[in-house]
Amino acid sequence: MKKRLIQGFTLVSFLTLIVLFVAYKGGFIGRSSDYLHIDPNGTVIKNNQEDSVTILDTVIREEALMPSSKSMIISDQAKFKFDSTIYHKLIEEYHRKEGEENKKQKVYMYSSKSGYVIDRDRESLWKSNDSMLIEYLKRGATDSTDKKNN
Amino acid sequence: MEYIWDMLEATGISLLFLAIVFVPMELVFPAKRNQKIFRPNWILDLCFFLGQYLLWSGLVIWTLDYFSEYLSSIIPLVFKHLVQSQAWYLQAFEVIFFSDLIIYWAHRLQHRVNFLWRFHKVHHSARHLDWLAAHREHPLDSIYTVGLINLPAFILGFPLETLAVVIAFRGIWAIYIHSNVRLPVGPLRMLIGAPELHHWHHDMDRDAGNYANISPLMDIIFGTYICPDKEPERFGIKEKTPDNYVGQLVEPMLPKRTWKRISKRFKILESER
Ligand SMILES: [Zn+2]
Repeated sequence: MKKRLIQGFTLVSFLTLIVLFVAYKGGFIGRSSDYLHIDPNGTVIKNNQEDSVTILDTVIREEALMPSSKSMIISDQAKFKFDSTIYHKLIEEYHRKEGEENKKQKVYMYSSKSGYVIDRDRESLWKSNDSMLIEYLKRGATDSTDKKNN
Repeated sequence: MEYIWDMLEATGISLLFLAIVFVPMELVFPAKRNQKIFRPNWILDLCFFLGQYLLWSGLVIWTLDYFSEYLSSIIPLVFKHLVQSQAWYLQAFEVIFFSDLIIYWAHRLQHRVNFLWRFHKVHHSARHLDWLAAHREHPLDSIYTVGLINLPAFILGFPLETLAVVIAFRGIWAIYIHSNVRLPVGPLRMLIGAPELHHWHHDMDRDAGNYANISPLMDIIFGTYICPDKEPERFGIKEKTPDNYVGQLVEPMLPKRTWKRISKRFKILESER
């Protein structure tokens, strides 16, 4: 009985990991598709086509413009926990990514013997910088939506 | 510097991820019960893994980029237009079908033609199969295989990005079929392949069969499909092979006599079955 349980658990974990991996490489999870995008009305939408650079560009512009166009600048910034170092990092990141855009690797089929699991064009997904960026975007985007709705 | 750090990070994450995916399966559903995770020559296969990620993947990708650009410059636009005017799913099917067909015959040639076997035998020299041994592959053998498997996509001008899910699945499944796992999946193995089939490809017999890439359909069509209900007794090749990474890389590129002299001079150990 215990053996069966272990076998069942191992098999389920294995299949789950394979599905997660395929979803990640296919762009269904992770930064490249499952990110938040703010449309011109400030609504948060999920976008599968747009590139993160465009998203970041939008957010940077939105964040840069919004405080000046609103009366509650200070409280807005407090609400966003707006941090200028993060902001500058984002801009740096944005320019770096923009430069890398043209060099982006194509997708190739692997051989029957092995496969490259994490490609260099995607590995930055795992960086703390990026998780911070996503967190920041989510927070900012959600807050701006709330505000616009109010 | 950042680039090197990125590569190291990606390599470490890949290694860790693959270990998390495959080690539990190898422990719970072992094909060879007595094979340990840290079996003989695991360091050699780790060298191949690291070499593939840190040194050779760049070379392979560069060659592919170069090759694809060259091909796209010589393929007539009319042909490309004709191909791309078909429905998307038809193009996808054609790409996968022709890739499998080409790689099946290319792989049979690797076993038949001595010059190609020199490089391909590096992969077959593994006497212990597992997920790590899947990465034992000569870089020139990688260029040959990956180049040919991508050839239809290059010729048809098909953007493989749209098949990312299928390609990712095939990539990780290719590692799985080498793992020390025996978990019969019944008729499903005819479609997606399984360790129980690919292990037989690694039998001591160089012409054992099961040459197809992942899905054994081509083996079934061309009569090279084998599926005994037991594991092969021994994996590996009959020839002597160096037991170290540099030796494995250099040996196929030199005439046999030259290699003999070098291995004697530097006392490179070779294993024979
Ligand atoms: Zn082979």
